Amino acid sequence: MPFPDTEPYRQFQVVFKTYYNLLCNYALTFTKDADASEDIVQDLFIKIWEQRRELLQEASIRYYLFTAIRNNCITWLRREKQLATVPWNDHQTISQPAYYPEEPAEEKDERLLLERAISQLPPKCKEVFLLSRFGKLSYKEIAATLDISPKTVENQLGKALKMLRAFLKECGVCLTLILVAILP
Amino acid sequence: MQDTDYIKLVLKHLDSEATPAEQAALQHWLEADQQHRLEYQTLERIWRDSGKVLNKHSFDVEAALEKVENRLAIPDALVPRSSMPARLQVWSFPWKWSLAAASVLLVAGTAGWWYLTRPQLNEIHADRAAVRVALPDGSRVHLRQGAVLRYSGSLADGNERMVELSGEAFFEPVHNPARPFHIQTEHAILQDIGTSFLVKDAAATDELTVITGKVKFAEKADPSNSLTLTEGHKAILSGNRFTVSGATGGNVISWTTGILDFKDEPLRDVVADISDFYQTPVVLDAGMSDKARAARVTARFEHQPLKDILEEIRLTTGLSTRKEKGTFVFFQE
Repeated sequence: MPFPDTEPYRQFQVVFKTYYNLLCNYALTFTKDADASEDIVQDLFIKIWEQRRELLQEASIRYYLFTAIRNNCITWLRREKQLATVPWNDHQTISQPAYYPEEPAEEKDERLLLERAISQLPPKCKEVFLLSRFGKLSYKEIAATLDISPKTVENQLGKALKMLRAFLKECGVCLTLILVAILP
Repeated sequence: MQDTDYIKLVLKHLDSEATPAEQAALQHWLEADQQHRLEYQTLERIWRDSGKVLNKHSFDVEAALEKVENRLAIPDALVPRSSMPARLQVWSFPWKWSLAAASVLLVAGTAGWWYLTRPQLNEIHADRAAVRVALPDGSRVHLRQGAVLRYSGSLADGNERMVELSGEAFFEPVHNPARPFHIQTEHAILQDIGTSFLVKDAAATDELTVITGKVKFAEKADPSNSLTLTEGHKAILSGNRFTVSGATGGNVISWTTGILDFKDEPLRDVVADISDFYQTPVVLDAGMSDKARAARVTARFEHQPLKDILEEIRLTTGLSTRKEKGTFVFFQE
């Protein structure tokens, strides 16, 4: 039972279930720490419920969530740097470096290659790309979040896609051929 | 067209950002050459796959939701009437912890249940969060998470009002000498004597803290074994023995307010309050000196996550923490 079965709470559950995994993965790109990422995302949801419940019904919730997570992750990183905090023994860090796969044997897997390609994007370019691909935010929203112009967003995204394309080409993964094979 | 130009066109199309002119330009480019169409598909695939690649780690959403629910405060207005027994009303005005108006009492103990055999048993479970309810007689109860309150009928029949409690709760009964308000726990019966009170029912003991007013505290098996507790006192019933102590710290009802307030209190008490409040074991290392245990702490925390509070204490005391099997341990380096 008895968490309130009311409209606002149903709304909360829907938003939570829709975005939780995505937001944690997004936070993970900053923190590289699964527990910390989950904490950051959970804290945000609690704050929304307690202070900004009206946001749950707004179309801009996506924009709000991603912008808030980015800000909170940056705050977290800053604090981690400042405070040499005592690590908990059971503190779990994702040991598998999702964004830095090294095993050359796996290079045939194009997804792993893509991962590596994304990890090698220049920082600013990567940040725009992540907000776009995770958050599916509009160029205007990304521009507002990062405090840059929509034109810069467009340019950085174009640059990202071009670099990913070039990287994959270089690695000899012939996506084009694969596609040709699939096409009738 | 330059590389970057068509890539941008494709991208804007995929991101639904292309203007009609850009759409037309893209269409024109695609129709111009079979290679262009293949290139488009490659780019689209990279674009689509990068979304999947980035979202590849799976977090346990259900477990996370449950964890979050446990930390959520539920405003009175959102406690559904439908899930409450028919005669219960939601308490919709702000809870006033005015100790002047009435007396308050707190009890503790847990364990098995006995069921009233009378019809229309009302049950209120505070499974996932604290719940505030108003009883049909106008009395108010704030159940701590995990507590269950039962009562029969509308509390309007008979010469007395009787409710049963498992867990911890804060009571503010409407006083009526003609029909005294009773609370039964597994081992005890409590009767308010012109008070409001908080009851907690834990394991083998029952604990009663009277914040204001007077409460009669009796052993259930032998009601003649009783005492009357006045405000600012705490009594523990263990077996058939009562232990009475003086006024408790200010944080016994913190769970109802979300506020932990420490004024020059020894660290060991602070840690015990925090542990109780968050329902998470927090202890001092066995090797810690008595002096460090008695270090004075003055701090106020309002609705803060445990993590922040632990950090605050680390910073003010210079102690460190480690986590051992779910228990936070403060220790001296």
